[in-house]
Formats: sequence, C-alpha cells, structure tokens
Amino acid sequence: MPSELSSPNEHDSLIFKYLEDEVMSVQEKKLLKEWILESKDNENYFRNFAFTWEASNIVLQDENKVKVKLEEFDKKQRRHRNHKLIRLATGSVAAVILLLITLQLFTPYQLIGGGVQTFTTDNNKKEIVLPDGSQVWLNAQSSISYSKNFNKSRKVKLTGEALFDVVKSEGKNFTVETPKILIEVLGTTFLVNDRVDSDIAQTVLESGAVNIKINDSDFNLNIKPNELFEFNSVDGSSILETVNASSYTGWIEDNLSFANIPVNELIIHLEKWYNIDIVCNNSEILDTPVSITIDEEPLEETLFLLSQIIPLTWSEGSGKTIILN
Amino acid sequence: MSRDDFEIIYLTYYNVLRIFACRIVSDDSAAEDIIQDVFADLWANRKNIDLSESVKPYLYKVTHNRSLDFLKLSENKNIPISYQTDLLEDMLYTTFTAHEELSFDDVEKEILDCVKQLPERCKEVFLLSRHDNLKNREIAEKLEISIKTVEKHISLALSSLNKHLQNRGYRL
Repeated sequence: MPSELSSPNEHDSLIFKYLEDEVMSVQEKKLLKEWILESKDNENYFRNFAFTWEASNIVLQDENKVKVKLEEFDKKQRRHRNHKLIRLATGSVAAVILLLITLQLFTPYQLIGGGVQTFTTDNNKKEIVLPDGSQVWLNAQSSISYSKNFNKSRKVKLTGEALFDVVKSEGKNFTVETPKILIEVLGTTFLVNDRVDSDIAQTVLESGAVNIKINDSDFNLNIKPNELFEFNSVDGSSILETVNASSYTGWIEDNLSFANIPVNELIIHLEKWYNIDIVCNNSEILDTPVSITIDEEPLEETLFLLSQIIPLTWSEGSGKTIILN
Repeated sequence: MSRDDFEIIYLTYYNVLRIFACRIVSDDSAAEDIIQDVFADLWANRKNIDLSESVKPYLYKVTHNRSLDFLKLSENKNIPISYQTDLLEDMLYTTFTAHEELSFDDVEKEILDCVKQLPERCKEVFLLSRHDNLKNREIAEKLEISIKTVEKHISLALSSLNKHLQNRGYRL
C-alpha cells in the first residue's frame, strides 16, 4: 500500500469511522471521546471534520437519486392529503369553492360520446381519484361524472356536494359544470357542495382565484378568497359576501372538532355534516363561542350536547330543517 | 416558502438527514420514513417557516426528535437510554445545528477542486461512496479490494477535504 493511505492524523480514522457510522468497539468510542475532551482544539477539530463530512455528502450526492425520493414523497403526500386538506386549503395556492344547487333545477346530463364514468352516494361519503390524479370527496346524496376523454378537457359534471383537490396541468383548466353554473380553475383545491333542499347555488373560495359563470347568461365573475357568491335561480338575484370559508369544508374530515368557534359558523358545519338546514331564531347566541367534537353522534345527541353548553331549544321544521330557539 | 424553495431544501438535506436519522435508529427504511415525515411537517408548516432564518437547525431538530420518538415506540427499548446521553451524538447534533446556513454553493467549488486533486483510486472510491451511495462493503466488492482499503481511501479523502476547507477559511 502506498504510504499516502496511512491517515494524516491518527485520530482521523476514529473520527471517520464514527462519522461514517461504522461499527465501533466500545474501546474505540471511548478513545475518541477522551481525545475530544482533552482540549478545545480537539473538539473543534472533530466539529470541523463533521462539517466537512456533512458538506461533502451534500455537495457530492447524486441529485437524481434524491429526486426519486422527492417523487416518492410527493406521491405519499397525495395519498395522505385527505387528512391534511383543511390545512392545505388555507395555503396560498389552494382554493375552496362551494356550490349549492337545487334539486328541482337538476336535469340529467347528456352523456358525452365515448362513455361516461359516474359516481353517486346515498347517505355515505366517497373518495374518488380522477384520471389526472385529482382527488374528489363526494358528500351524501351527490353525483359526479366525467367522460372517457377527461384527460383532454378536464371537465366534470356535478350535482350534490364535493370537494375537489385538483392537480395542476400545464395550460389545462379544470372545469366543474353544474346545471346552473360553471367554475373554472387551474390546478388548485376547491370544494363543490350540492344540497338537495336549497334554492340557491353557492360558491365559496378560500384562497386562490376561480371564475364563475352562470349558465345561459353572460354573467361572469372572479371571486376572491373568503368570498361567498350566491345565485338564486328563482328570482335571478345574486349576492357576494365575506365569510369564513373553512366553515364550509369541515364535513370531509372523519370528525368535526372545534375550539371556540362562533355558533353561526358551527351551524354551517352541522348543516354540511348532517345534510340538513338549520334556522336560528335566537340571534343572541350566534356569536357565542363554543368548543365541541362530533364523531358518529346522531343529530339529536349533538343538539342535546349543544343545549348543555348554550341556552337553546330546538324543533323540527318542514323537510330537513331544524329550528333553533 | 414556495414549492421551489421546498425542493431545494429537500434535495440539499434529504441525504444527510437520512444518515443522521439512521445513526439514531439503526434502520435504513425506518430512517427513510422518518425523513419523509420530517419533510411532510416542513411542507405543512411552510407558511410559518421564515426562510430568512436557517431552516437547517429546524430540520435536524425535527429529525432528532422524530428518531427518538421512533425508538421509544419501537419494541427494542434497550437503545434509547444509552443513546440520549452520548457525548459524541450531542456534539454531532450541535455541530450540524449550530452554524447558520453556510452556503453550500461556496463550499461546493472548494470540495470539487479538492476531490479533483485526490489520487485516482481514492477519488474513485470516495465518489462511489458519496455520489453513488454505495456502502463500503459494496465498494469493496465492486473494486475487488478489502473493506479496510475502502475505509482508508475515504478517510484520506475526508482528511484532505477537511484540511483544504480549513485552509480556505471554512472553519466553525
């Protein structure tokens, strides 16, 4: 062996062994520790060696290998995204949209040539992955369909309630079409929610930007984050107001859990969760902060729980309406 | 923190963090899982991360904590007790987290210059280790040399680099 292979410093090989995470005997470790503790210079030498070791690992690594790991990471994130969706939705690139559409105005969609894939739910929720990797959470009593050539046009048709987490695709908009309105976005996260017992189409955007069109009209509007757009198909009127958009997305979680949210926001959550309408006749309680967690409890139980926290009574109204007093 | 920032951070620190985690948990695939979780945390918290401050101490800290959590949860309960008080580990940890973002762009040129000047065989072994991520045993098999020789080559390369960097003023 050429002499240059002998270590320049007798402790280098110990330090090296340690940094490389090689098997070291207790004796060797002890030697290294003692040497380091001998002087501040030795400690600094060790630290500088550690720095060199780290820097050489970073500088000389094969970036392509790490890129493969990054891709794995992205895939895993996508799989886990449903649990993190609410947090994601508050991010700067995410948008949340909510639609409420009357059943009365629903007309069955014409099938697009080439075959259509349709998903429907009764009283359950469903998770669907679209051909482009975008994810959809379909709430109860909802239906979504897309054609076989989805990847070309990225169009889905919806009645009911759904949350979309849309993957960006270069230059390809993603379109959600409902009987009353049309929503267009680039890659983003947005919620579409279709309730059967409402006369109103609603869109709520949490962040990002989307464009809304009302079918059979020239109406065209870009809405801003935390704005609620309402279109009343009966009298043709529309409203734009500021809301807390995250109140409209909680239903996709496995449970509802809140710390100090005002009753008026809780009401929206409960409406989505139980697929009901809630009318509150006591405006004094609307701003009261409540903390509550709801899992599988039936509505009755939740209302009872709520009545223990805040002064209220309730009765059933027509259809699926609950009246709070 | 933008997606681009995130990618740069990921590509820079993935490997060293993985090695760091592996040193604690002694399990390659567990270490990989831990690091993916660390980056999932980083991505989830990206709104709160201030990039004007170094993200590196944060990453090592989370890796350190998650690795210890893994040990606590794993069935092999013998390891963590001795681990936590280890002087060398502590020193390594504080070294990696203490100095603020020393730009690796500057260091890169110095390291590449120095590696070029290494003896041919030494350079080959060192790059197989660092660039191709081969274990010493794999390098030994590939080049038909002993593991001891591989270790010596890498040790020499690191010593040379260490001297070179210190001479150029890169010291802690």
